[in-house]
Amino acid sequence: MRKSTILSFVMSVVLITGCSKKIPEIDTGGVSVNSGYDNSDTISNDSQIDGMASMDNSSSFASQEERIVAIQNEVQTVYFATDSYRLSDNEMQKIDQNTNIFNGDLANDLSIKIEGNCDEWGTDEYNYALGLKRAKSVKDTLSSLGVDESRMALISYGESKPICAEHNTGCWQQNRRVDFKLLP
Amino acid sequence: MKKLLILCIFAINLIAFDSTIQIVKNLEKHPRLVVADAGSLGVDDKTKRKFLKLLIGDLKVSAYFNVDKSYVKMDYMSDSGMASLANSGVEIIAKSKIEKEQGGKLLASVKLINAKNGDLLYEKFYSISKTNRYPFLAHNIAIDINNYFGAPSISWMKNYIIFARYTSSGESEILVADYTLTFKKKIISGGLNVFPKWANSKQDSFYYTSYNELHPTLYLVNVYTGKKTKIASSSGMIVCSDVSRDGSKILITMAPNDQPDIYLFDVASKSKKRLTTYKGIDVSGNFVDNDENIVFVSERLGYPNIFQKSINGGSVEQMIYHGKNNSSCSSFGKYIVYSSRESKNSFGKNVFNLYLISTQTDFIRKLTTNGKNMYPRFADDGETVIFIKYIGNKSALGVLRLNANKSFLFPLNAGKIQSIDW
Repeated sequence: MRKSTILSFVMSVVLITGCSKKIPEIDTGGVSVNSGYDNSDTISNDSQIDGMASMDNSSSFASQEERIVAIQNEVQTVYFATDSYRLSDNEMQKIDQNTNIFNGDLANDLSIKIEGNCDEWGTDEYNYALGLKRAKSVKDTLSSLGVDESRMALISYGESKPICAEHNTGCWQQNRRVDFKLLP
Repeated sequence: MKKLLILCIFAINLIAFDSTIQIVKNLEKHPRLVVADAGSLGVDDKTKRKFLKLLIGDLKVSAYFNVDKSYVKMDYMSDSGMASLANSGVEIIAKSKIEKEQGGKLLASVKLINAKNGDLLYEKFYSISKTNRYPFLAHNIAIDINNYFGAPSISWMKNYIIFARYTSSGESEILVADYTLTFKKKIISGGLNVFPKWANSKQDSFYYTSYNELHPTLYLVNVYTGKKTKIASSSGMIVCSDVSRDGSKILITMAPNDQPDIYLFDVASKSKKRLTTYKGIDVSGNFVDNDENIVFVSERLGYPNIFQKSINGGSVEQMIYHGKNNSSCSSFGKYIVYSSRESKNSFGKNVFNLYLISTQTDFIRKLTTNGKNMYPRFADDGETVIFIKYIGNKSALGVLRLNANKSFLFPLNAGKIQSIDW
C-alpha cells in the first residue's frame, strides 16, 4: 500500500511536470536581439528592444509573411523638413536602429524597398524627384552603415500616398517621409 | 531719316509680337454680342442651360466680343425682339437651337445676325454623336463665330485636355476632357497612373507612367485602339516631360542609378542621351527654340529654379533671377511660363504665381496675383495658357489669353489633380 502510494505520487509529479507549459528561454544576449548593441550602448527606444526580444527565432512564425509583418512593425519611418532630403541627427538615429533590424538574423534574407514621399506642396514632377532623393539619402546612409546595397531598391511616390489628408503643418510633416517595405 | 523710320517701324513690330510685354491699353472696340436661346427639342432644360452657358463662356474667352450676360429668349425663325436688342446696343445676335435625335445624336442650329439691320450673316448646323459631349458643340460654334469676324483663332477650344487625378492613397486615374473640364471621360484606371502627356498635336495617343509593374514604366497608348506600348522603365521614377514638335523625340526624367536626370529619348530607335548630370534634382525638361534647347527645373543653386541648355551639350544658363522656388514650367517656341512661390512663409497665403518670360529678352511678365497657381500649360496657339488655381478650399481652371491680357476662371470639380496636359 505504502509502495503504491509513493509510486502514485511520483507518477503524479512526473505527469504534472511533463504537461506544464515550458517558459521559453529568452536569449537577450544572442543574435535574435539587435546584435549591434552591447551593454554600453544607449538604447533610445526600449520598446523596440522588448519587441525584438519576444521574437526568438524564425521557427516561431507560422509563415514568412508573418515574420515579415512582425519585423515591418519594428522598422521606423524617417521624416524630412520642407523641400529637403537631408537627414537630421534624430532621423539618422532611426536609420541606425533600422540597420540593426535589417541586418539581424530575422531580416537579413529580405529585400528592402525604400519609398520616398512628399507633402502636397510643390509641383508634380519636382515632388516625385524630391521623394526619390529622400529615398536615396536613406539608402546611402543604410549602405554606409553596412546594409548590402543589392538588397535595396528605391521608388518615389511623390505626394500620391499621404498618411493624412488634412491641410495643416502636422499632417504635411507626416507625409514628408520615407517608408520601408520588406520583401521576400 | 528714311533709315531711322524703317528702324522705328521694325522696333514697334518686334514689341507688338512679344507676349512678355503686357498690353495695358486696348484701343480696339469689341462688338457687343448676345447669345439667344432659340429653343430646344428633346433636351432637358438643365443640359440646354449648361450648353448656353458654355457658349457664352467660350465667346468671352475668345476675348474678342463684349458678350451680354443676360438670358435672352428668341424665336429661331422670326425677327421678333431684335429691334429692342439693337436699341439697347447689341450688335450681333447668335441664335442657338438644340435638339436630340431619336438615335441619341445632339443637333444644333445657329444663326448669326447683324442686330442693327437684321441681315443674316450665316446659318450653320452642327451635330455630335452623344449628348454628354455637348461642350464640344458649344466650342465649335464659338470657334466659327470667332473665325467669321477674323478674330485671333480659338481653335484650341476643340482640343482635349488629358489629366490624372488621385482617387485614393496610391491610386489615380487618367481622363480626357474638354478645356473647361465639363466633359470628362476616364481612359486609364486601376493602380497608380500618372503624368499623362499628349504624344502629338493630333491627340491620337499619349504617354503616361504606370506604377503597376516592378518599376515605374512609361507607356504610349493609342486613344482609339487602346494599344499600349512599353517605352522604357526605370527604378525610382520615370516621366515624359515634353514631346518635340514632330513627335520624334521626348524628354524624359528618369533615374536608372537612383539619380533623377533628364534624358533625350528617340522614340523610333529607343536610344537615349543623358542631358543633365547634376547630382541633385533635374526635372521637367521642356523643348524651346525650335527644339534645339531645353529649359528645365533644377535645385543646383539650393532651391528649385529654371535653367536652360542646348541638347547638344554645353553649359547651363540660369533663366530666372527672382523667387526662391520656381518648380514648374511649360514652354512654347521661345516662351516659358512658370510657377513661382513667393511667400516668405512656406505655407502662407498667395504662395504660387505664374510668370511669363522669353528666351530672347529679359522681360518678365507676372500673369497672376493671388492664390496657388499651378500646372501652367500652353495651348497649341502659344497665346493661351491654362492652369489650376487654388484659393482656400476652392479650385478653378484658369485660362489666360496672353495677347488680350485677360484671364478667366472656371469652377473646378475634378478631384485632386496630379498632372495635366493640353
